[in-house]
Amino acid sequence: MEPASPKRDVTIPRPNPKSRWRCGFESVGMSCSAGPTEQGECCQVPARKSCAPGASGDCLHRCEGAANCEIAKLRPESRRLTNDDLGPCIPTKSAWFSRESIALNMAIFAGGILLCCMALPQREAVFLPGTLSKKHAQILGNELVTERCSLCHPNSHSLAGGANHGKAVTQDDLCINCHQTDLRDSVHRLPHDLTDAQLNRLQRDMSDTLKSSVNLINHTHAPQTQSTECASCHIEHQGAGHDLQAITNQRCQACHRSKFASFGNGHPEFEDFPYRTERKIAFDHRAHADKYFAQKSESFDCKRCHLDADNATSVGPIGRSVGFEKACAQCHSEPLRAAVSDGWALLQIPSIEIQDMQLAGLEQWPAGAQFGYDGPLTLPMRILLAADPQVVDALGHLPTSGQLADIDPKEPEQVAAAQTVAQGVRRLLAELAVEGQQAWHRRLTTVAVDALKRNLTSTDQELIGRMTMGLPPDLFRQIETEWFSASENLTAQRQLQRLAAQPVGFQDELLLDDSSQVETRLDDNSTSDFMAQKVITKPIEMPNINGRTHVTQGGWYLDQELLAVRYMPRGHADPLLAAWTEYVVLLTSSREKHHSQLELSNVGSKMIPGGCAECHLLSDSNSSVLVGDGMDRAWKSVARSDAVRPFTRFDHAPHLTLPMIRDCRYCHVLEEGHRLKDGEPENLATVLAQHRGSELTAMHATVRDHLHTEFRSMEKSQCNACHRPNGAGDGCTQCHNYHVGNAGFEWSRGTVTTP
Amino acid sequence: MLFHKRLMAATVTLCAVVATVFAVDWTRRRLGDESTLTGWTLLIATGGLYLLTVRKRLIRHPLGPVSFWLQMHIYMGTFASIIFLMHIGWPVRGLFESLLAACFAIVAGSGILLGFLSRSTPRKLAAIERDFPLERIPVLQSAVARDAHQIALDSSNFGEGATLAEFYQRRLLPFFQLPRSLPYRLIPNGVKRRLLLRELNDLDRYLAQQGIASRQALVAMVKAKDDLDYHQALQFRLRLMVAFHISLTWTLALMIGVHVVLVYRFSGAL
Amino acid sequence: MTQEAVEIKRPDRWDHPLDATMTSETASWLLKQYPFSLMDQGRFAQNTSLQDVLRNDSRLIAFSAGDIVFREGQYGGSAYLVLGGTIRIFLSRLLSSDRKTQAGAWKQSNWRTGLKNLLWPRVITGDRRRRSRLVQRARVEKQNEGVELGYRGEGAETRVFLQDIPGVLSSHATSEIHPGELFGEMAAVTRTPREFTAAAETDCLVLEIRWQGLKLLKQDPAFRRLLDERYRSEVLRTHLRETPLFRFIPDEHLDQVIAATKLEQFGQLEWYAKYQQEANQLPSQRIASEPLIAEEGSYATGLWIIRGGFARLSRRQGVGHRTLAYLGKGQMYGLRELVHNRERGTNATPLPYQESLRAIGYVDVLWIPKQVVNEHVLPFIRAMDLPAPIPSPRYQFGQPVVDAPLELAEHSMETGLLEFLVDQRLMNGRQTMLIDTERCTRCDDCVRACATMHGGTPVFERRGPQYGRWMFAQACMHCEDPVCMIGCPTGAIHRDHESGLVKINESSCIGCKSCAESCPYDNIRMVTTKDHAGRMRVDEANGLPILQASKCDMCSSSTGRPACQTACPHDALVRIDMANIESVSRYVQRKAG
Repeated sequence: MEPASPKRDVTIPRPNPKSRWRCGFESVGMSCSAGPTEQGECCQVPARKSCAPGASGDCLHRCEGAANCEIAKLRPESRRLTNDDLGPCIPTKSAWFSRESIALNMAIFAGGILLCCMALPQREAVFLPGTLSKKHAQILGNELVTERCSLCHPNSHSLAGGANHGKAVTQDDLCINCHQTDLRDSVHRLPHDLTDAQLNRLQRDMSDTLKSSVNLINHTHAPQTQSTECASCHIEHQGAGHDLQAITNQRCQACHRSKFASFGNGHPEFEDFPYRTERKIAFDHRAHADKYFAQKSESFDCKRCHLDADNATSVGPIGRSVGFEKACAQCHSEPLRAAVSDGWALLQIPSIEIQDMQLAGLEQWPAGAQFGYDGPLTLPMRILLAADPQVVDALGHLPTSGQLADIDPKEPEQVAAAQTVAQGVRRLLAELAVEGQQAWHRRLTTVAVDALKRNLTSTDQELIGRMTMGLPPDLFRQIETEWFSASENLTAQRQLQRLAAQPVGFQDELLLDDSSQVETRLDDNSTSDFMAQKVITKPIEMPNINGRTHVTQGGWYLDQELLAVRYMPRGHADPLLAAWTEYVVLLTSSREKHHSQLELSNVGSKMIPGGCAECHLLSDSNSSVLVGDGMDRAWKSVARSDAVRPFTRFDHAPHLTLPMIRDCRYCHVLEEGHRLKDGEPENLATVLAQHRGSELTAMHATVRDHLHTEFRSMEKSQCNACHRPNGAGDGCTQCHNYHVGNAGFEWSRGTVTTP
Repeated sequence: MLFHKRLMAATVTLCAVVATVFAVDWTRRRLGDESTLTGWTLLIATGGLYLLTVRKRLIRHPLGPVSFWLQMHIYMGTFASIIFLMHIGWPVRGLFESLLAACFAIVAGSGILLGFLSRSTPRKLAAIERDFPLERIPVLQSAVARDAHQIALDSSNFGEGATLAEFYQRRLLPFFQLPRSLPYRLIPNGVKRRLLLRELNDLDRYLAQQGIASRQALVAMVKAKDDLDYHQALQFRLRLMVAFHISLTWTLALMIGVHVVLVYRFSGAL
Repeated sequence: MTQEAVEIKRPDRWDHPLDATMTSETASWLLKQYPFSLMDQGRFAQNTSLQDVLRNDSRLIAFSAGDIVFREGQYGGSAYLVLGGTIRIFLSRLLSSDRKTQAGAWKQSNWRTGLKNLLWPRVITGDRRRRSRLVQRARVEKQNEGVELGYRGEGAETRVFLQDIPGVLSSHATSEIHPGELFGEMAAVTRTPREFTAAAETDCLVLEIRWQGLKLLKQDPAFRRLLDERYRSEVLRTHLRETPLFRFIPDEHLDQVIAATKLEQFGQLEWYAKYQQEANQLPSQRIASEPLIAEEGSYATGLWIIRGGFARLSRRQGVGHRTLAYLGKGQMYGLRELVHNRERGTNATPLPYQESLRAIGYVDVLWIPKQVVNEHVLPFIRAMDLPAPIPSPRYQFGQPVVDAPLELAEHSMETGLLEFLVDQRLMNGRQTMLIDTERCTRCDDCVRACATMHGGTPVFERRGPQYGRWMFAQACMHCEDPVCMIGCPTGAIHRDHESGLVKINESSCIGCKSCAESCPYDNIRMVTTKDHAGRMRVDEANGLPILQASKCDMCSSSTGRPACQTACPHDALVRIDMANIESVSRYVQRKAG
């Protein structure tokens, strides 16, 4: 401290950093004891007028005493300022106050700017936290600016929105508004869109190896399965280029805890990929490749059957099959035709002992069937008879072969059975003659019902419908009159109808009315000798109807020699045969063998002509989670659909572009089948040979087993060759779907009820 | 002792950061929203930063020394800055968000700078043996200038030629009258001082005894002026930095508020 | 600040008499009493007649038996004249709790209470405050044995009284004071704390005279004589008992010591005026001009004990003197030499004083001759309390002066700072504001905080004497020897009983500037005053603002430490007691290292 002289001034106010304003004279070493006002004007504006410079006591403006005069310290003799040198006092803001006011003003300014922005029509542009992804941007592009936000953000604009209505609208609801087509509203928040029940089933179905490698969380309680929102994975406002579906592997591993570094190391191995789906066609790839194609010296090219460029599905142009006509017909249509060359006798009147007729009460049994027990009891006939309660038991006593010829006349109950059956047949024919298709339909239904022990589903009904369809009732009237020589007037009628009823050809679809028949006939036989003659004068005499010549295009007709109702199929995919096959399969597939009388156990693939069941693996098994819609799914060559493996996604197209793997065999490798004793590789033919004649279901099972091991299931390494971090990429979502709750994916057998 | 305190505080901060990192990871695994977590952490930390201001306003109440609160402010600021980096997504998108981020960054940056300045500057200031209150410096400067001017005028009357006066006119007048250059105000240094003193000393060969006397007087003046300038520059720089640090605080608070409201309204809550 | 002013009458001396109820009748009655009856009224000035003095600067107090007049360690500006009854002075320590009060200068309050007060501010009614104080006292007095205290009266009039006088008297050494005798004036005049407790033995009538009055009365020789004969009888004994060395001396020996002890003053009470003149001399001159108490190299004739003020302990170094330390109240000089000589025995040549002792401003010392010390003091001092003999004396008779470089003791601070402190008389401060300029960022938060605490205007200035990095800011230091009090005509500036802080009573400050001008450190300023409405008070006579003295009051109005220290964000500011060299140097070294 500098020496204080006696006449120092103790009334100099201390500098006050708290005061908002500083005296304007401070900068020239003078200051005022009062200081400026709060408003920053000099305290002595009026007083200075009267203030005499240098006056000691009565002036509030004064120079600091020499003692404290900093100038004096720097140099002893220094000139002193007087008030005259000064202009008016212009108070200055103190550092503290200016600092505060700057801060405050900036805040106010910022607030003002913000308010202005909110007022602007383009306010979204200001507060938008980043641009939308391209797709959303396109959708919202033509929305009103003010409504853009509110499309995805509940109550983003109006306070009245959502929250204070009864049910708060969540952001997810707004997402679903647009996305409900591929996401069911009720389930989209659930893990994989699946209910607990479904998840449980999935986990149950998992193989143990998979279970061991994937550590599953308790999905009923884990928080991450409760509070999933769209936004927790699909994050918007990340710029136009951002892919909303790009999900980090971490997201998946939130629940799938078996942590592994990458697809390459740690990812569980494949299980019979991609061959889990049931084979519908018993096609032996190896046999065809090695033998049949080789014999015909044709190249065995996969694409020929599997590449269906015309109707490419969501999962590429590769299909299960391109269909019979394109793929198989070339070799297989001929044998098919041959197999059914002379039609299929659905009903054949059995011949019985003449003397038994009277005591059986069977008058006028056709003369052609009156020489001893003979003739087969065909499968359809047996089924139709089974619907007749009086006959059912009798059927049981007949010889298992189904040939009446095997009846031993010494056996009274066999004979009795035969008579009952004969009566049954009579009743059957009579019914058909009177009621027509109705009777046919009724009997089939009855049989089906007590075979399956359940009410028939719509598909079953439809099936029986297909079996009945096109059955011509007047064939049976004709039988009545011709074979069972009904009353004269009937005969007379028959004479009249002879002409019209003559060609019993085109009856597989529906009965045409006469006029059209005539035309068709004329058109058809244009080249026949009928054309030659101008007019037909004398009645023409007709030979017996022969299936091969008269019913070439397929249809019902009567076999006058064997007294049978025959049906001539129309090559591959004949609806009636298909229907009957399905029907049989349906019956046989019923679990408990209650029908000892109706011997279906040994219904082999041959029972129905054409042997549809040899290629078409109809009888279904429970191995698959999936079920076809009705039976006809089993006939169709289904396209590969993501319904098969909902969690996995695969598209052949990009893979086929690579020359290295363009050949399907790179991935789909044929297994070396185990060989037979003679060193021949066991193939489907041999397998069938062993099981032909055995029960259908059993046979199909074996065939499936055989075919299942036909291809070597794929190795993870095969994919991993390309799918690595800096290669084709190995993110979870590259091959796996999260949302599996979409329409294509259904749950089998109602064990899991989809909400 | 002091060192131990600092060490402990630093450790606590570090632990807090690590804890947050783990919490964020945990949330991510739970498919939770980590930005909410970091956001609230950041919000609380930032609130904690404002406590220093509150404490200063409540000087009457015995809530512990302000120095303690300043320490807390510093460490919490460090913490907040780290959380801030975790909170914002890279790159920062959106106009408002970017402004907010920039605002925070500026405040944080100036704060860090201020931390260093407020340690280094006082040492430099204390090196000058007398302390000048910033408000008084202009007075003293003008006084020094005045006296120097007087000396220069007088020196021409000694009949020793106008060397000194001329030199004063040429070199010293600007030095005394004008404020120092911007670079000097940013980084005060003694270059000019040494230069002028050397030049002044060189004048002796043209001066006689009286001249030398007043030359010495001028030397004293130069030193005094330079000391004043030095103090002024340093103190002003520090004060400016403080003002800079504080000027954005309320703006920041406002924008943070808007940000939070927007976030919750647009996520459907609120 | 708002500019409209309120006009009032400029306050004047005796606007606030000590006792408003004092009538001129009483005064004139007093004039007839001893000793005033002996006084010559002619000696008194016109404007301050003896009667006015008595009327304005004194008051009559009736104590009932047992009432405590004042307690040891308290500060008080009054002397007491017994008019009737008997007062007992306790020579031995009566209440162990006393003297502590200085230590706890302000009530420390912790965070929690602070926070609570902040959240739930509650108005403390005077009533409640009193009760809380009583409780606090009661707690304190539990500890001390045998002395039961009671309370009577209300509020400010609360009196403390001894429960059982005979018991207390029997257990303590006391001396009686009879009508016509004066006591307590020494503390009043020398601004030192009370050195004994005084209590009324019987009901008695006492005239309290505040020291401003006392100064006036001293003009009368008779009265002065009355004063001078006082000290030895009771004060000295107590004082000696207080100094640790004399603790174990039996009474008969102590009597001898008392008889031999000489009481001396050096320098003058108004030292600050001279000091201000001398301020710009060379240091060597300044030291030389200081009144010499004992010189180095002279015969060690006796033991010096500092009673009040400060003395400089110095040594010749080159042409000047080097300050080794400054001695404050109770510290001794010459003991080492005496002990040394006694150890050597009589035949060896005794050592002279090794350092010289000078009065810094005003110092009040006791001198005990060498023989008395040897006979009656040293034998009764435990060896452990005795200083060690001097290994290598600097001064020896018949031998050249060994001008060896001085080794600094453990906690002694660098000499430069020491010299500086003494030169600036800074050692006087008990709450000196010490600012470390190497940490201070000049943010002025301290000043702002101060302004907040004191209605918008700070009561200190962030500038002042600097030594290196240490700045001693211009804030009231609450000096050991507050010279600012001397001039005050109304006693507005006074020492607080409890804390010993120097305070200004605004109601009685008349703005005469005397304290501000007499403060050597320029720590008191005259400021314009405002009324509750914030209007500036202006003299109705000439319209000039009415000034009042303003200075740091250590924020004693609020709880907790002073705002300046609390508000410093960088721990650069501390309030420290300079009288205690050890603590200061410890602090300085801590900061340095």
